[in-house]
Amino acid sequence: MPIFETVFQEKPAIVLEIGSVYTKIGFCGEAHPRFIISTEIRSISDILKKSYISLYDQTAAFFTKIFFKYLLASPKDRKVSIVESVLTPTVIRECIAKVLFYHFEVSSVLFLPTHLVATATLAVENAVVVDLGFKETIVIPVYSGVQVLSAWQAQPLGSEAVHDKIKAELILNGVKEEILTDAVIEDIKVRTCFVTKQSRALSFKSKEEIQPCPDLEYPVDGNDVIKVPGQLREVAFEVLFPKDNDRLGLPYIILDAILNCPVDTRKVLAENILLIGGTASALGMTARLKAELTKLIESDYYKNRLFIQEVKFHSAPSKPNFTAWLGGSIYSSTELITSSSFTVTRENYLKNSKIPDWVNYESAFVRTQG
Amino acid sequence: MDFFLSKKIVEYACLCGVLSPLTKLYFCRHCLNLRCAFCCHHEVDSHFCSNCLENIPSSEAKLRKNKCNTCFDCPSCQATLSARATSIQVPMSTKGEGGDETDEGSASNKMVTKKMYYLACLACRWTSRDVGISDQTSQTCSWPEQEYFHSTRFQLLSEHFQAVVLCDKEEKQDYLRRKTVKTSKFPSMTDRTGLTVASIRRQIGFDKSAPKAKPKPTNITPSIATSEVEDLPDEIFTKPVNLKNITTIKQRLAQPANQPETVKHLYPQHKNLSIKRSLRCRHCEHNVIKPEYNPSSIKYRIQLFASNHVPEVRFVKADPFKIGESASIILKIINPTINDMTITIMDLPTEDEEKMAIEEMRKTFDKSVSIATKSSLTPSIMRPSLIEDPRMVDCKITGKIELPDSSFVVNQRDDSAEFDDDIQGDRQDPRFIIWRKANKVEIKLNVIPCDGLKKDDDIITGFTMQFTYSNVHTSTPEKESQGLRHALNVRVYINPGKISE
Amino acid sequence: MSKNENKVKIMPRAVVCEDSNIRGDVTISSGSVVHTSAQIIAESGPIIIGENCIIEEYAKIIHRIPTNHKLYQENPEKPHVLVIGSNNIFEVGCTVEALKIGEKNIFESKSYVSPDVTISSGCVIGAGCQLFGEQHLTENTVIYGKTCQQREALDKQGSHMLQLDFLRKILPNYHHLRKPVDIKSKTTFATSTPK
Repeated sequence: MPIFETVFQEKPAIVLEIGSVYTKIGFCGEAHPRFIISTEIRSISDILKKSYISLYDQTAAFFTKIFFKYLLASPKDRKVSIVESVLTPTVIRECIAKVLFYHFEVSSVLFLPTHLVATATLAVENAVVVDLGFKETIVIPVYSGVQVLSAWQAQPLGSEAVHDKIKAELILNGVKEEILTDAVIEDIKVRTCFVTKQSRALSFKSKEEIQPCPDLEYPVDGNDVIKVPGQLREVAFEVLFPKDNDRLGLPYIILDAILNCPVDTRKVLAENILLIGGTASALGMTARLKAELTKLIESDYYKNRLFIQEVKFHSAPSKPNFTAWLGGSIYSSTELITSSSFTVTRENYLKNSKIPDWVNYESAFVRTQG
Repeated sequence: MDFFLSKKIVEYACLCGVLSPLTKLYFCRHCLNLRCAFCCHHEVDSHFCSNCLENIPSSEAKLRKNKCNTCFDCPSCQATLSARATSIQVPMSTKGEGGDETDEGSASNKMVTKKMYYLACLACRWTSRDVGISDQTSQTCSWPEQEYFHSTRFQLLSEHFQAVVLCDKEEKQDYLRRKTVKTSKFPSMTDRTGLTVASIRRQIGFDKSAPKAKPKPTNITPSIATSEVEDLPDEIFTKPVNLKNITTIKQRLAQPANQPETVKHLYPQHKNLSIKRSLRCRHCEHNVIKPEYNPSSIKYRIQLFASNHVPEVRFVKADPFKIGESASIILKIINPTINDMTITIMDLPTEDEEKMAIEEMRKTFDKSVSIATKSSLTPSIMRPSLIEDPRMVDCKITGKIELPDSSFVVNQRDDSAEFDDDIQGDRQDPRFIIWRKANKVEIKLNVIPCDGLKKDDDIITGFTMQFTYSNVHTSTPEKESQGLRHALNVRVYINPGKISE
Repeated sequence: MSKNENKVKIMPRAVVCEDSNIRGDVTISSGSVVHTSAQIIAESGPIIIGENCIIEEYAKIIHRIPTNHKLYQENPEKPHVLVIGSNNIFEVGCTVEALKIGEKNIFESKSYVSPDVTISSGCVIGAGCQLFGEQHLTENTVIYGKTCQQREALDKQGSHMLQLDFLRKILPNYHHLRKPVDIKSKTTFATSTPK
C-alpha cells in the first residue's frame, strides 16, 4: 500500500468528465474538481459530418488546453480516467482514446461509467442514478454495484429543454432574439428560475388565478433590461414534467426504470434515488421530484406493479454537477486504475487499438463492505 | 512580421500534413524537417505565477495545487486582486483588545498607526471586506482559507475504496497462487531451504510483526437516503429577488468546490499558475523549443524556429487572374541563414506520391515502435514517442505554377551588409529574378488557373522548394562544411487572390 | 436659455482650467476640479455640479434631452436642471448624458451613460462600460466588465480627498485657470489662485 501511495503521489491520475456543456477536470484523490470549464467541442455530429480528422483535431486542441492551461501537467506517461455515460457514441470514445494515446502519449486510459461511479460517493450498492444533464436525462439503476443496463431510460429532458422554453417565452414577451444568447438564457435560468411546487404547477396548468412570484428585471449588456415574468420563473422547469398521456416526464422515466428491474429490487431502489448532473442543482428540484413520485406511485398504473410505498433521496458529498466526477476521483485513487480489466494501457492499445465496450463490461468493481 | 505571415497567404506544409504560416513552425535540426505545434510533443517546463512572476518548482506547485500562495483572483470578475493598505489607529495598550475603551482623546492612551491590508479588485471594486474577511496585518500573510465542507467524508470514502480494492486484489492473488500449478520441475530455492518470504523478511530484519496483516476494508457508514427533502422556501413566491446578490454561473464555477449561490460566499481564490512549455520532436526526441527557467525572461535555451532556418517566401503582388490565362505573381524569398542557399522550385508531389510518402513514414515508424514494444522491459522514458498519423495536405491546388528553368542562389544573411552600399553581385541571374538585395530575392512566376473555376474562386497554388541547408550546429564536427550541406524540400502553398473575371 | 449664452458660474475654491470647454448655464460648486479639455455642455437646461467633483481630461458631461425622451415628450418647454451631486469623479474620456446623478459616483475611463439612465449614489460605471437601456441604478451599484455586469458594493467608494487636495495644489502651477467669477455680481474673486 505505501509503495503504491508514493506512486500515486508522484503522478496522480487525471480525471475528466466531459459533459455536453461543462467539462470537469481534476486529479484523482481530490475532493472536488480543479476546474469546471465549458466544453469546447459542441455538436459533435456536425463536426463528424465534416470529417473525422476535424473531430480529432478539435479534441486534441481541447485536451491541449485542459492539460497545459488548466491542469498544468504533462500528460505523457500519466494515467487518465474519463467519466462518461454508457450511452456515449463509440466514435467519440475511440477518438478520445486515440487523441490521448497518440497525441498525448498517456500511459493508460480508464473509462468509467457515470452512473456506477456516482454511487461510490455514497458508499451504497443500490441506487437509481438519475443523471440530469444538459441534453438529456439518463436513468440507470445500479444494483449490488452492477448497472442494470437493461432498465435504462433516457429522455431529452434537460437544461436544453428549459433553455428553449425560457427563450421562446421571452421572445413571445417581445424581447429581441439577438440579445438572448445561450449565456444570457443560462444565467437567467440559474439565477432567477426555480422548480415550483406541485400544487402551484397544477394551478398554472389549469389556468387558475394565482399570484405568481415577483417579476424581475434582468439587465443585459448595459443596453437592455429584460423583464422576466414571475410566472416564467416558476414554470420554466415544467417542461421536465409534461402532463400528457405519453408518460415521458421525469418522474415517469424514473419509475419505469425501477419497473424494469426485478421485482424484489424495486423497493430498495425506490428508497435510494440519487440525482446528479447540473440540472439537479435547480432550486426545488428534489422536492418537486419527490412530490411527483409520491403521487405517481399511488396512481393506478404503478400501484399494482411497483409495490413501493415511498421514495427516498440521497445527497452526495458534492455539488450535483460534479458528483460523477467525484466518483471518478474515488475510483481512480484506488488501484483499479492500473488493475481494472477496463484500463486500456498504451501497450494494449498499440497492439490491437481497441478499447473495451460497456457491452462486454466485466464488473471488476466495487463490493462494498464484504 | 506576424501580421504579414498570419494572414494565411503563404503557408508551409509541415511533415505531418498540417498547413501553417512559417512563424508557427519549428525546424528540427536533427531530422532536418519542419515541425509544427500539432506534431511536436509538448511538455510542462516550469511553473510560475503570472502576477508575481515567481518561479515555483514543480514539486512545490503540486503541493500547492498549482496555485500561487500570495496572489489572488477576484471571485467576482476573475481579475487579479491587489492588496490595499489602510492605516488604522490602535491603542498601544497592553491590556489586550476588546476591553473597555477609554476616552480616545485622553493623552495617556497612546495611539499607534498600524498598517492593515485588505484585498481589492481594481476592475469590479470587490473587496475582501465585502464578504466579511477582516483586514490582515501583512500583505502576504495567510488569508483565511475556505474550508471545504465535504473533505472529511471524501477522505473516508477514498480510504475505504482503496482498501476494498486492495483487499480484493490480494484475495485474487492468493487464489491464483494456490491455483497455479508449479511450472518448474525443480523445487525452487526457497522451497528446498524451507525459507518463506516471511522468514526471509524476518531475517533481514525488515518488519518484526512479519506477515503483514491483510488489508481490511475499513468500515464506512453508507449514505442514508431520506425522504425529508429541502422544500422551497415560502418567501420565494412573495419576496422580490435582488439579482445583485445572486452569483452568476461563471462566478459559481470559478469556485468549483463550493459553488456559492449568494455573493456573500464569494471568497478570494488563489491565482492559478502558468507554465512555460517546451516542445520536443517526436521523431528524434530532441527539443525544438526550450525556454529559460526564469519566468521574467522571454529568451530560450533552445529555439529552432523555422523562420531562422527555412527560406521565407513572401507574396508581393499578382496580376489579376483570369480564367484560362496565365498571370504572373511576384514572390520575395529571404534567406535567414548565414550561408548562401541554392533554391530550386519544383512541382508539388502528386496525390499518389504524397500517399506513398505517408505510407513510407508510417512503415518506418511502425518498425521502431514494434521493436520497442517487444522488449517490454524498456522503461517508459526510453520508449520512442508515437507520431501523429501523417495526413494529406488539406488544400486543393487551383492554380498551376510554371516552373522556372533553373535554380538560383540567395545570398547569406549578413547583418552588417544592411549598412553597406548596394553591391551588385557579378552573378548572372536567370531572367525570372527581377530584384536582388542582400539576402532577399524577388522572383516572378507564372500561374495558370485550373479549368472549371468560377469568378471569385480562390486561386491556391504551390510548389516544392528545395533549398540547400548547411547544418552548422552538428554534433559530428569531423565533417567539414562541404559534407554538411543538405538539400531539403518544403512544400509551400500560396493564396495569391481570387479570380477577377 | 439660448445655447450661445455662456453663464459659467464658478464658486470659490473650485479649480477650473481655462482650456476646458464649458457651454451653457453651468455652475461649478466649490472644491470641484475641472481639467483641461473636459467638456461640460448644458443645452437643455442648466447644469449644477456639486462640491468636490473631479472632471478629468476629455470627460464629457452633456445635458441634452433627446427629442424622443420621456421628459421632452411630456413637456418640451419645461426647463430641466441637471443637478450632479457632490464627490463624483468623471474619469478620462467618459461621456455622461444621464439626467440625474447622485453623489459619490465614479464614471471610469471611456464609459458612457445615456440620458435614459438615472444614477443614484455610490455607483461605479466601469471602464469602457456603455449603458444605454432605460434603467435606474440603485445605490452602490458597480457596473463592470465587457458585458456590463452589475454588482452591489458593500458601501460607498472611498473618499478621494487626497487626490483633490493634490490637484488643487498642482493644477494651478501648470494651467491657466478660470477665475471664479459670478457673472451677476461681476466680481467675486477667489481667495487665491496661484500661478
